[in-house]
Amino acid sequence: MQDDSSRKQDDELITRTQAGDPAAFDELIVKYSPRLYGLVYNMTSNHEDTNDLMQDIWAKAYRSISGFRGKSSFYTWIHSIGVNMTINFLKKRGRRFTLSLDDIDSKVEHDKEFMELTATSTPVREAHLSELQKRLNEAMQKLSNDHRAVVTMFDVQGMPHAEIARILGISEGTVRSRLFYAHRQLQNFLSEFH
Amino acid sequence: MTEEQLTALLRLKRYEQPPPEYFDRLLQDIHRRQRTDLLRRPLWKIAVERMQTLFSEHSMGHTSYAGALAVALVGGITVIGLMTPSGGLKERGEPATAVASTQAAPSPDKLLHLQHASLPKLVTQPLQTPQAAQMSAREPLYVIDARPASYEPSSSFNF
Repeated sequence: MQDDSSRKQDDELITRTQAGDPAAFDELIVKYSPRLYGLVYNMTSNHEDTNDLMQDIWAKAYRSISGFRGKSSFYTWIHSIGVNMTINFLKKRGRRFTLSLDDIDSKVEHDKEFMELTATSTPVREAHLSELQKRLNEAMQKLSNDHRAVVTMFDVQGMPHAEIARILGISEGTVRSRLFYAHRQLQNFLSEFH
Repeated sequence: MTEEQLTALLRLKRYEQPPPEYFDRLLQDIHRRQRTDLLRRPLWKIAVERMQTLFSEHSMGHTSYAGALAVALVGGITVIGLMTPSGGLKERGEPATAVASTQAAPSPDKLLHLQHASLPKLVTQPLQTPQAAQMSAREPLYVIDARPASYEPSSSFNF
């Protein structure tokens, strides 16, 4: 998930932050916020909540970074804080669903899978795809928080099983079984679409 | 829907990202939040952190840090102990029998006898300074005298 040079760069930034250089911590924020945002947003389905959580997560990371000893990578550490805080937040919030597809980045048009899905694009097909994505988001919200976290990390963010296991503090087997169950549920929710 | 179709559809969700300027604003929001958090921190936390910084600047190990804290604690207790007036019974001039009576439990008759014998006879007199005596000799002053003649209570309504 993370190459050696990236990890070395992180180690240096962490050392500088621990020595009291706030600019080094800013570099870590800039580097990891887009991925962290994707994780939190796909779990909360709400931009405002994601924004608040992003601030909370980074604030907590800043307070705790003096105790960071490099037993895991910073990537794993910050994602672990992010997932735990988001799950705690969702437990308190209950179910609320306000995800908007208008936020999809324009880069999606260059994605291979998107091009395949819209290869023979017709208004009917596009409307079908849009409806399908809407239904997928609704289906995602029907999953439990733990299952949604695994689907977000594996399918949306492309993390390997081992990394997800480290972030969530569970075994790889549990990651795989949660993924299997979540996929089955999503397929059931979307069964009317072919 | 097949497994492949589902994974392809899920992968498209990675493009659900806010515009790039959002992350610049986020950085500013985090800075603002950090400053607010710093201002809201209780004084004792700041004091502890400063102590830790002071010790870490002198590159002290955990053991010496704990030792220094222990010395500071003992020193503080000693100073407080010296500053507090020592409350020994002998210094107050109280009879030694008060201490002695706790050593062996005497019979009720003996206890009554001991109380009469050991307790000093107290002569009670009202505490009065010369100024207080002068004040009491004067006519009493009433607060109502200070009320202006034009005073009307606010509760009087004339319709």
